[in-house]
Amino acid sequence: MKFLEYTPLDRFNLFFSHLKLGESTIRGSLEAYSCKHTVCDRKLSLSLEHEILDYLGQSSDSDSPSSVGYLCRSSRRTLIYLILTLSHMYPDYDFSAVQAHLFLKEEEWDNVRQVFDTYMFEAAKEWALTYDGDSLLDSMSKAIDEVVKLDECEIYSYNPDFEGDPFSEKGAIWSFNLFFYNRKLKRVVSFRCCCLSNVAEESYFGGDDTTKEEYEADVIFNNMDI
Amino acid sequence: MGRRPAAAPAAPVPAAKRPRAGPQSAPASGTGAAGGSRDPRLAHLSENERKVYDAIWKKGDMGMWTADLKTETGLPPSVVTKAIRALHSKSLTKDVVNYRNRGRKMVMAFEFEPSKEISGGSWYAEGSLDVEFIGVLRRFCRRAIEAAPGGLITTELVAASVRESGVFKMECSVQQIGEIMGALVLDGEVVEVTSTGKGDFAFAGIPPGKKCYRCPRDGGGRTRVGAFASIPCGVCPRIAECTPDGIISPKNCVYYDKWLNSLEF
Repeated sequence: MKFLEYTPLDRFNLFFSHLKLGESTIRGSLEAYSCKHTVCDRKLSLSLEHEILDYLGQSSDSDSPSSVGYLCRSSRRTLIYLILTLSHMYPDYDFSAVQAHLFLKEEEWDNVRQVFDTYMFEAAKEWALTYDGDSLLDSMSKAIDEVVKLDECEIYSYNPDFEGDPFSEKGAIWSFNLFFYNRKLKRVVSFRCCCLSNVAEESYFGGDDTTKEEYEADVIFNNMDI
Repeated sequence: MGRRPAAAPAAPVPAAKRPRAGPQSAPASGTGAAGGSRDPRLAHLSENERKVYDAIWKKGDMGMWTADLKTETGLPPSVVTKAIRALHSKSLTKDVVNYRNRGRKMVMAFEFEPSKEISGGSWYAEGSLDVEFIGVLRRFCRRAIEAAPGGLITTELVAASVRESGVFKMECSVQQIGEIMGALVLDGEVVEVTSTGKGDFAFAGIPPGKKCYRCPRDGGGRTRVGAFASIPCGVCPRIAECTPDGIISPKNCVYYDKWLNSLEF
């Protein structure tokens, strides 16, 4: 998946690169990719294809009503593109095809709007303040539309469980990954966002710094009026 | 004359390779650096590849997450990725799986075997619990108990029969068999007893005080009635109204009559 530079997306990335909202920070990014295989992608997509076919072979034997069993060729291709995109977005993680399939869900635009209303409420307020009452959702959809023509897109969300989630490692309060995939244009725009607590953030940044965590906890408790 | 990396601080050394004592000043010997080995392949690595390799090697059998590798070397991500690929292709490093954090990309120097902390130990294969292997081993152990003289067997004897059967490719230590027996006990499939040295235990040749195992008399299995539920009071619908002198009392309890009559002594 080749990363595509798109200046209309830049101002959102700048906005989301470090959005401090009181006790929490929101981090997000909008990325555009073309479904063009790099050398690594080719290898990865082959191994993913094998993994899927193996699993399909197994599940058809055991006769279990697994949703993976109904993956036709084009949905397999879509699945592989989405996983390749995930690998580019999170280069330090491995994504298994079978697992990813369980966590990917097709969405409607209404769901996206809902996600926005639920999670991006405060961010949208900040945006409106910064940009003269402008609507974050509208501006973002316009920008995404320039890249992938939203009305022709299939929308997917990736909701991994704890193990498969790069965000939960950072101790995110909430996170989401959305993909806008235009089959004809062979392009994917990903929008990922997570909310980190300002208090916990430092202790997670350094990795496994438990002593720092404990110290921070002490600081919080000592400052409380108990 | 190429540039040589500065001597690195003491690094974990795998048993097989140790830095050979050599003239410290000679630029050609790369002494003290990670690997310490005279592996000639290390000499052909680019500076970045060597840096990456050293960082990975220092982690020994614990392996290193690629994200940490990028932070530690301070090199740009694409450079690190390329270096890892080159090192993998030269079989100097390899991918490993951390069973507790399956999503992370972990790498390790080729000569190390993943430690128990990241491989999960003998019961894990490629990062996930080897349910099949455990299942087969459990059935085998269960059958060993059933076939044992006197119906009693010790862990050591089970381990010996596992070994002699030749069914399993790998060595199963007594400790591992002990873990399997523990699992079987908790699942109610076998019963753990301590030998009294007499009777059946004497017949089986098990000295007194030794822990051993037998099959449960009622066939075993998960559903076992607890002690309290095995007496009438435990399941009595009238227990709230029962008093020593009341209309409902233990003295005239019909359930007890029934139960006592059903017991065989």
